[in-house]
Amino acid sequence: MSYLEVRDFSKNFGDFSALKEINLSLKEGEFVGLIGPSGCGKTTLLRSLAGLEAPSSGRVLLQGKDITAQKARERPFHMVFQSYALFPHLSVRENIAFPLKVAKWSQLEIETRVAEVLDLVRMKSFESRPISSLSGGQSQRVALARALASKPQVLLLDEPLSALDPQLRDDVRAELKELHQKLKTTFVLVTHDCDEAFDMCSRVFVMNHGKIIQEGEPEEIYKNPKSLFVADFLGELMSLPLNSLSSPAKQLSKLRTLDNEPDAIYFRPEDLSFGGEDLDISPDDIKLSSHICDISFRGSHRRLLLEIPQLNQKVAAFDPHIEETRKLGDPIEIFIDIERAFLAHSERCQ
Amino acid sequence: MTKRTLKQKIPQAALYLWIAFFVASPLVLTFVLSFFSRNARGGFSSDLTLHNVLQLFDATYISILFKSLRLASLTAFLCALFGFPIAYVIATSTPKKKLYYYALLLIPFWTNFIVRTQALRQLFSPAGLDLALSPTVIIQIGMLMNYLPLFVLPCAVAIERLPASVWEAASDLGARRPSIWIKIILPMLKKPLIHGSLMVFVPALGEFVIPDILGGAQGFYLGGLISEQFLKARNWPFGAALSLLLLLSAALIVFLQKNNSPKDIAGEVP
Amino acid sequence: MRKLPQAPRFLQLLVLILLALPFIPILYTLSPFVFESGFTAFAFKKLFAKSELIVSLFRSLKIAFLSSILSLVIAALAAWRVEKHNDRIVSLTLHLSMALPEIVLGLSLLLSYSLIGMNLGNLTVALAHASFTYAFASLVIRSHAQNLDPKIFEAAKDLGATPFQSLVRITTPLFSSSLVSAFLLCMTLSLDDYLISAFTSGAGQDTLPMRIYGLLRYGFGPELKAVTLLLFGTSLIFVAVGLPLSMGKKKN
Repeated sequence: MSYLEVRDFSKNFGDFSALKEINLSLKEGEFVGLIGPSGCGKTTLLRSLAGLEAPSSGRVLLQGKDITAQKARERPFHMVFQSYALFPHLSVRENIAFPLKVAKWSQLEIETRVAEVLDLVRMKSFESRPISSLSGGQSQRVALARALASKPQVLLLDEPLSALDPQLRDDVRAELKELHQKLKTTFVLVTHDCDEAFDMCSRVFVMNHGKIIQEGEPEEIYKNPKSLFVADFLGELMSLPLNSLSSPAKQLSKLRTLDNEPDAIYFRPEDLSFGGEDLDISPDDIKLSSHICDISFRGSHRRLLLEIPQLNQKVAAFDPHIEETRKLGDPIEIFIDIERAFLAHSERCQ
Repeated sequence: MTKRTLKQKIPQAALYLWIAFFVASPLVLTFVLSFFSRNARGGFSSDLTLHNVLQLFDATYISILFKSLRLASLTAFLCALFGFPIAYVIATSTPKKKLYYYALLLIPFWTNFIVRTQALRQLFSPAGLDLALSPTVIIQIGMLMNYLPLFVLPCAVAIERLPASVWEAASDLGARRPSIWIKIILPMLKKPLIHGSLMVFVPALGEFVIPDILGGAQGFYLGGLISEQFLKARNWPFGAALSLLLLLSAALIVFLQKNNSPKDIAGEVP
Repeated sequence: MRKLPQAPRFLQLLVLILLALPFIPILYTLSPFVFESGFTAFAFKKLFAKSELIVSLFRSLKIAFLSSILSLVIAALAAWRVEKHNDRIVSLTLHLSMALPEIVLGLSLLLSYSLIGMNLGNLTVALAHASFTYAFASLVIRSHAQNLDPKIFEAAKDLGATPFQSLVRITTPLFSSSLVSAFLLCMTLSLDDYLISAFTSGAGQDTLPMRIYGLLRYGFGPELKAVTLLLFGTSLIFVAVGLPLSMGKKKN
C-alpha cells in the first residue's frame, strides 16, 4: 500500500490552473524528486502537500487516511524553504525548539531533541548563535534541523540547494543522502536541476504545465523518455532532420519512435562514437562524416563540436580520450548509436 | 475553511468600521455641510444652498487661496532645495555619522513646534536679532524649519536604496559627475522627490499655527480662515466649503503631479 | 550593500551648518537659564505656580498614550491588510489620511462627533489623534514587513504553530522594534498636535500645546521658557539614550 497518495489533485489560481488532476503515490521512506521547468507547478504541489495551499479539487491521503482538510500546522509534514525562512529574532537553538514548543513538549524533551538534531546536522557549536551570524550553508542546516526536530513523517524540500555556492552544493547533496539513509523518513525534493534529482532521488516525477508527464527511476526515464519534452529537459539533446539522412529505411525502422510521424532523429552527445577506435559500434549505427570545429576541455573528458558539412549542422560529442590526439579541423567519422537514439516529430517538444 | 475566513473577517470588519467612521464619514460630512445653510444661532440647518460655495469665488477668499498656494509651494520648493543635499549627505555617510545627523535633524523636531516657532519669533523680534525682516519672510523661514524633516526623511531612505552599481556603471561608461547626476541619479529619484515635496505641500497648504504666531495680522492664510469660521465666526457651513476648497486644491496638485510623472522612471526603485 | 559615493567635505560641512540652524532660536530662548543668575529657580517657580500648565501636560501625556496604543492596533491591522491581502481600499485610505490637511480632519471629526452626540473630552481628542497617527505608524510597520521574508509566517504554520502561537511567538517579537518606533512616532505626533486637538477637545480641557498657545498671547513668559527647557531636555535625553542603543544594535 502506498504511504502518501495524491488523487486527482487540482489547484487553480483564478483562471490559471497551476495543477491539473495530479496523481502520485509514494512509498514509505522513499526519496522522490519533483522536477520541471519554472512555473510547471512543482512548488505548488509541494506546498499543497505541506497544507499551505488548499486544493481546488482532489485529495491527499496519508497511510490511507484522508488528510486533505488538515491545515499545515496539523500535518506531520515539515518543509525546508528555499529561502530557509528562519526566525531572525530567535537563536539557532530557539529556532529548532520552535516546533517542539508549539507542540507543548516538556522542557527536558525539547533540550534532548534539539541537541540530537543539532548533532545530526553537525551544528552543535552554533547552538546559541543568532540567525544573522550564519552563512548560507549553516542557515540551510539549521532549517533542516528545524524541519526534522519534531520527527515529521514526510520532509519537504523546496529547492534546498539553489541558494548555495556550487562547491557547497555537492557536499550538501551527499549529506542529504546520508541523512535520508539514516532517518528512513520520506523525503520529497523539488528542484529544476535534473542532476540534483538524479543524484539524490530514487524516483522522480517530471512535471510540465501543471501535470506529471513521466515518473520513474532516474536512469529509466533518462533512457526512455516518453516525450520529446522530457528528453530535452533531462539533458543535452541534438537532432538531425530525417530527410537529410541517406540511411536506408530499414536501418531507421530499428529506432525507437516517440510518435507517429517522426521527422527527425534525436540523440545525446554520449550517443555518438567515433570511427577508427571505438569498438562498440554496431553495423546498424548511422554513419556521418564531419570535422572538428571546437574542442573544450572538461576535466574528465573533452567535448567536441563537430560540423557535418553534408547537413550544414553542428553536433556535440564527448571524447573520453584526454590525450591530445585530435586537433581542430581534423576530419572525423561519427556513429549515432541506434539503440539509444530515437525518432520524434520535431514540433512536439511540449 | 469558513471558520478560517471568519477569523480574518472580524479584524477586517473592525478596520473598515474605523475607516468608515474616522476617514470616510468626516469627509462626506464636510462635503454635505458645504451645501447647508447657516442659522441665526451659529448652528446650521439642512436647507440646501449654493451660497457657501459661491461665496468662495469672492475676490477676498480667492486671494487668500492664492496666498496659501504660494506659501505652500514655496515651502515645498525650499524644503526640496535644502532638503536634498541634507538627505544625500545623510544617506551616503557612515552608519555612525548618520545617527548624529538624524539626531541633529530630530532634536528640534521633537521639541514642541509651538515652542519652537515662538522661539523663532523671539529671535527675530526687535529685542532679538532685529533684522527688520518682513513677516512674510519670517513665516517662510518658520515653515521651512518645521517642514524640512518631512522632506528629508523619505528622501534619504530613497537615496539610500539606490544601488552603487548605478553610479559605478555610469562612471565606468565615461560619464562625468554632473552628467551622472542630471542624467541618471535625479531621474531615478524623481518619484521620491515629488513624493517628498507633496508630503510638505499638502499639510503646508492648511497650516494655521506657524503663520499665526510668526506673522500676526500678516499671517492670515486659508488655515486661519477656516478655523476662524469654526471657532470664532460660528459659520460652519462656510468653513466646510472652505475646507472643501483646500482639499480640492491639494487633491488637484497631487493628481497633476501623478499624471506628470511617468510610472516607469524609477517607479520601483528596489 | 555598497552605496553612492560619500558627499564631498564642503557639502557635509554645509549640511551640518544647515542642521544646526534650527537650534539657534531654541538656544536663544533658553539663554537666560545660563546668563541670568537665579532665572532657573524663578522660571520653575512660575511654572509650578501655573498649575493648569502642569495639568495640561499630564492630560497631553494621557491622550498621547491612549491614542498611540489605539493607533498601533489600527496601524497593525492596516499593514496586515495591505501587505498580506493587498487591500486596495486600505492602501488608498492610508495615503488619504497622510495627505489630509490637519484642519480638514479636525473640523470634519468635530462634525462627526457632534452628529452622533459624543461629548467632547480626552477620549474624542485621543481618537482624533489616532485617526491621523495610524497612517504614519502603518508606514513604519509596513516598511519593516517589506524587508521580511514572507515565508517566515508560512514556516511557523508548517511547523505546527496555531495562529495565536504564531502571533505571540513570531509576529509580535519580530515586529517589536518597529512597533516601538511606531509608538514613539505616534506619541511625538500626538504631543505636537495643536489644530486637531483644538477642534476636538472639550471646553476647559486644553492639551499642552493648546495651553502654551493660549499663554503666548501674554508673551513668552519665564514659565514657558521652563517648559521649553523641559521639552528640549527630554528630546536631548531621548537622543542621548537612544543613539548608543541603536548603535549597539547595528554592531550585532
